[in-house]
Amino acid sequence: MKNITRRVLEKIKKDEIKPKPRWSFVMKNYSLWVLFGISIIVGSIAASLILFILRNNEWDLHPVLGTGLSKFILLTFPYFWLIILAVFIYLTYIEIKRTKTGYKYNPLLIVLISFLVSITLGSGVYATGLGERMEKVLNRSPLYQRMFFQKQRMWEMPGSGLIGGTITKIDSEYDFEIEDLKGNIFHIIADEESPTGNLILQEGMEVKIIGEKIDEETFKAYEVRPFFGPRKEIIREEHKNFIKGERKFSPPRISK
Amino acid sequence: MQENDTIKKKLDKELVSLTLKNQDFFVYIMERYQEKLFYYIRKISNLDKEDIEDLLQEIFIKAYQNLNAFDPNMKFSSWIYRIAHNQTIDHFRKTKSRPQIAFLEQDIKEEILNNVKSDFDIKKEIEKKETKREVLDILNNLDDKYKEVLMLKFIEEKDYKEISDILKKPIGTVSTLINRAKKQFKKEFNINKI
Repeated sequence: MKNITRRVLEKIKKDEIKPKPRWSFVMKNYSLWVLFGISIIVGSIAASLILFILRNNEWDLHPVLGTGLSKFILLTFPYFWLIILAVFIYLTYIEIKRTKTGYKYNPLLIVLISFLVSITLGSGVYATGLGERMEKVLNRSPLYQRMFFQKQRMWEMPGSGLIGGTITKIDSEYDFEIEDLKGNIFHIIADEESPTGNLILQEGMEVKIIGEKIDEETFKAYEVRPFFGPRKEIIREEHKNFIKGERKFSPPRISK
Repeated sequence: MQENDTIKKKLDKELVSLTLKNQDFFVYIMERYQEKLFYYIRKISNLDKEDIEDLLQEIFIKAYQNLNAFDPNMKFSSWIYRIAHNQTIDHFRKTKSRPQIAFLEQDIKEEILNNVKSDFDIKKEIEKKETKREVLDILNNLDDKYKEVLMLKFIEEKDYKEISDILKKPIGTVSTLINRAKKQFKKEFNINKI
């Protein structure tokens, strides 16, 4: 046994082994806490996007699509952000566990607290509108669009009364053109007798339209919604009428 | 000689501070722990003497390199046992084999046997006929995940906090493991009795 002590001391001296400096351990511990903070922020953003997507999901449209509510939820649930949230909650757990005293905490408690903090902060981020802005930016990315293919496809069904696209030309507030998501041009007509809604149309604006297909080039609109972001309450009310079968349309106003 | 005795009486924490100023003081730390760690590694690995000595050398070098990471709020013994535990696990990971955790007959002294009996609430039942050998067999038949915790508790005589610091598990988890080990022990004990 004496040999071990001697051998170790000789090796330390011969190989000039030195204790690692204290600051390297302090830095390692701090960097884990910084990574923990970053993971919480990313998790919160994911939570805010989940809230935003769920809040602005077209829950009222599942009867129009002919699907039950459960199938509609399965088709439109923001799985991607849920996975991101789960991954970053897991990362917070790993980071906490690797800190100097992290092993003392119950793993379930760490995960639960990370989840609650992410949801709470996420609600705050959602309230500031950052979730909406991020969703808008991300939706311009083809990769992101592919991930939410099912949801996007919902607005590629003029035959079922749903069409989405970009306004290319405005003749009047009751008469405009869009290029749909597949690149087809549709002439949109609205009912002149309907009261005016509060959506201000502009060329280049991306919209979702609920109505009925008249022919291959014409679509009669009962409701126009902005493609991204929340709908105004007045539009919701009009849509309720549409769903009930009253089919009143509030034509959008044109930006002067 | 007197100076040597004074150093030997110093606390682990004091020896760590002295070692950080002069590496020669590390000898006192090694002398204090080499035997304890040698037997601990043997119990959790069942390696032969040469392998354990090689492992012990790696453990001391690792401890020396990481001396600045030692937190004086915890016991130095827990800290160095943790390094020994991790290095032993690493050794088996590298050799792609499984450690053989085993209670050895010479480790089960009368006092330890009494602790096991009283802690496992089987003192009265065991007094008459069961021998040390039978208790040892039951302990060695327990799941591996329980054996190391029990070893630290009964053979190394560590408390829950020390076991938590060595194995880097929450105290609640250590307590759960020990309770489950007790249940498994009693189950095995009752089966054997029948």
